[in-house]
Amino acid sequence: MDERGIGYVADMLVFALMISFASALLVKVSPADVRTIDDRYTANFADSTLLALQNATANELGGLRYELGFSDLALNLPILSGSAGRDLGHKTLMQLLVEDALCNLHIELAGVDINLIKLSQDMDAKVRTLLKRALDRLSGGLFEYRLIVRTKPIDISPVAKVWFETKLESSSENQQRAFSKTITMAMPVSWHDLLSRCQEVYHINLSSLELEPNVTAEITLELWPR
Amino acid sequence: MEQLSVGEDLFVTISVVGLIVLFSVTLAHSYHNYAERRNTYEGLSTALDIAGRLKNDVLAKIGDFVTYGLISAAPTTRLENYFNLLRSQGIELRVEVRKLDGELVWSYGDEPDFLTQYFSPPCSVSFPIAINQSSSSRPLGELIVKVWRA
Repeated sequence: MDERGIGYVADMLVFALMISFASALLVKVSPADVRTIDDRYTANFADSTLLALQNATANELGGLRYELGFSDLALNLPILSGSAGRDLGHKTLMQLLVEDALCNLHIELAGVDINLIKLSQDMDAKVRTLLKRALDRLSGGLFEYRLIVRTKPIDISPVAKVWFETKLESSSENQQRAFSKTITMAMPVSWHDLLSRCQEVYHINLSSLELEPNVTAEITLELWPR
Repeated sequence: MEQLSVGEDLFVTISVVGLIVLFSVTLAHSYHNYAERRNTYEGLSTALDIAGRLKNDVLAKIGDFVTYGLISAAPTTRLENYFNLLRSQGIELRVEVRKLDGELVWSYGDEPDFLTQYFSPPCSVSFPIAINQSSSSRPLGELIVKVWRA
């Protein structure tokens, strides 16, 4: 092969290099990252799930009926037979979730959480089971989820604060790439009514607190792909 | 002046042809991958747009009110109009509403034909919804939207 042949080969190698560069550009450049579509779908899915929970009723998921009672002490008195039970099947799943948050009052005194006796533990357990079943079926195994209902904490004294919070999750792991949607719902009671019940026990001066008229709860749904 | 063409050197000829073929194939393959990704992206993007429009507007209007997240328990005239509008733009659509147990509540549009849609496969997305069966019965369900080019 003489010098001209080597020149042709060199030309072709340059040509090949340019084609490789063009191919690499085509491979690299795409209309959008596939993750963009995944992200858009996940965000839309979270939005749709919250909206669906606001409208769907519990009756269609087997209903919800619970008995008033303490943790290990059911009120099995004959005179209460039936009267201690409540049927909430007509309520939407979101209404039940907000009411469940009301069953989970958190009181923090000097940084220490105080466990309170819950009169509606049966409701708490049943609502959580119902919602978990609904969310498991809605997510269809595609997503992990965390649903949190929380009210803004109220400082009732320099060392004490109260709030309502309940959490439902499919996985306790913390995911960096999670999508969350938050809606705000008004609870069917006022802060004044709620706090007046523990006013005497905890020596709260309600008049000194700047309370909003209604308790509002933030409902946040976090989703991330499995 | 002495002229030397490519054909006079067998090794150079084979190298040139081989390189041209190899890199032509590489270029074609790269373009195929690019086109496939673009089609998938465009198809899913269109399906997401259409599904969003259906659940937040076309199917969400029940009576005079729009309730987000709640869709009608049967196909509506608005859906038919939207279907015809998309068809005039060369977009075919099939909408299914199913309960969580998989029971089909209603569907609209034909299933895509596998053979004719070989080069334009349908893209499908699904979203959770509540179905407005009656004022006291609103089960959770799934809105499934399949979109493909005619």
